[in-house]
Amino acid sequence: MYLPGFIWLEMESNLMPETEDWSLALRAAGGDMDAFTLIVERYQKPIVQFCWRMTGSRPDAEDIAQETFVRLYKALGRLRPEQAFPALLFSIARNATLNHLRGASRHRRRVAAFSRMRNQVADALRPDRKAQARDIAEALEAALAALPPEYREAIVLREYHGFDYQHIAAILACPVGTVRSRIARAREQLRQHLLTYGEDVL
Amino acid sequence: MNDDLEKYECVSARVDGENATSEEATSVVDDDDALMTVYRQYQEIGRLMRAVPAPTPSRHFADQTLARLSRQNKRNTGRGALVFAIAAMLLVALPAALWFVTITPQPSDSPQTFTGGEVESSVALDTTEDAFWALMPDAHPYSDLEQTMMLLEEVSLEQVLLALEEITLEAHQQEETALLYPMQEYGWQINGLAETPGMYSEMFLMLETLNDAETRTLNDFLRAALAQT
Repeated sequence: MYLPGFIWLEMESNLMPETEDWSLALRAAGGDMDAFTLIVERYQKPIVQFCWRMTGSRPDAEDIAQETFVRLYKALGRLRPEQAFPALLFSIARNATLNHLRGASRHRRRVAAFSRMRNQVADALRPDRKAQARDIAEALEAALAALPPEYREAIVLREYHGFDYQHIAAILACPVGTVRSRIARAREQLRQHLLTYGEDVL
Repeated sequence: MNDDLEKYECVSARVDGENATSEEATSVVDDDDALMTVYRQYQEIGRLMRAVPAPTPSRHFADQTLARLSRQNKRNTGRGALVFAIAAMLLVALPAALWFVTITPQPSDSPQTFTGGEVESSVALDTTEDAFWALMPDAHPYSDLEQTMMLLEEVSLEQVLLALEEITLEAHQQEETALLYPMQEYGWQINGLAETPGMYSEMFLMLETLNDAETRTLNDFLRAALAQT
């Protein structure tokens, strides 16, 4: 269920009021490490999962997520409470993830891109693609991985983390119209990809 | 084709309850069976996405994060102590070197025969600061970070960002694990920096996160950028 203007974070406790987040952040800025630990424990799951969905690698996701919280701590003294805390944290995670994706060696990126293209061409040449659709989840994963990062991050923030367009725009530092367009294009690419496995997939 | 994209955008926004106008929300989808099919398929895609299990953080994630923070804080503290130590050494070494230069006669090119009288030196002694630093070619009067700040006064913000991006790629090509590009972390402040190029305090805080090798590399890039302007 999506609540307008709120962020639904699937945590072990219930919904997280933002004022409590900022209260913990202010305490952490004053050197209260217990408060900072609480922030980490509250947000570690969604941040790790966001990083994993962007990178596809669990070790990388945990590494980036740790770096996210470290950067958050270093920035605590300069943050403004009028910002939405979850959006702020995801913004830091997003930047850290993009750093990671950009930092991957050019050679590895070319190899990965070529591998994807080669698989797509090979799949297209096979006569019966329904026979290959053993696992729609795998197909969906492949389709997500094939999305450009700017589309992928938008659709991930929307579908998995429940942010509304305004918060996504704040995280991605772009206009709401751009968010709307990227999510739509992401969905359409995913739809087209999944439909190649058969009309009854969706 | 563009019309289709616009319609798909409306459909997609309707899935998220984010349509700009109520006319958009109803007429585009409800009046078109094909678009209604697309609407249901978009909803199904969301359901399939959320059904894919995602990993949970490792059990010691919070502890590892705190340990990482502690390590980085120690490194920054160590760097600050190093700067202080270098400054203290300079305060001692500079007068000592000047004293050494003033009392030690410079050898002349031609051989001298000692006749027992007073021998005047034929070399004019240079006791300026430049002469001191010339004796220590590997040293510099300013720390790496101070050099960076001085260079930042001369180069544009765009050149700084480009230099930091180059360092990011270079660092990973050298298989270092540190994630650079601190400028991008504070994206909401970049615009402010661009509008007020004199506000280097925020940039200074970001640059403090770089280690010595990274700072020297940044300085090299900035000097190269400055040389091209």
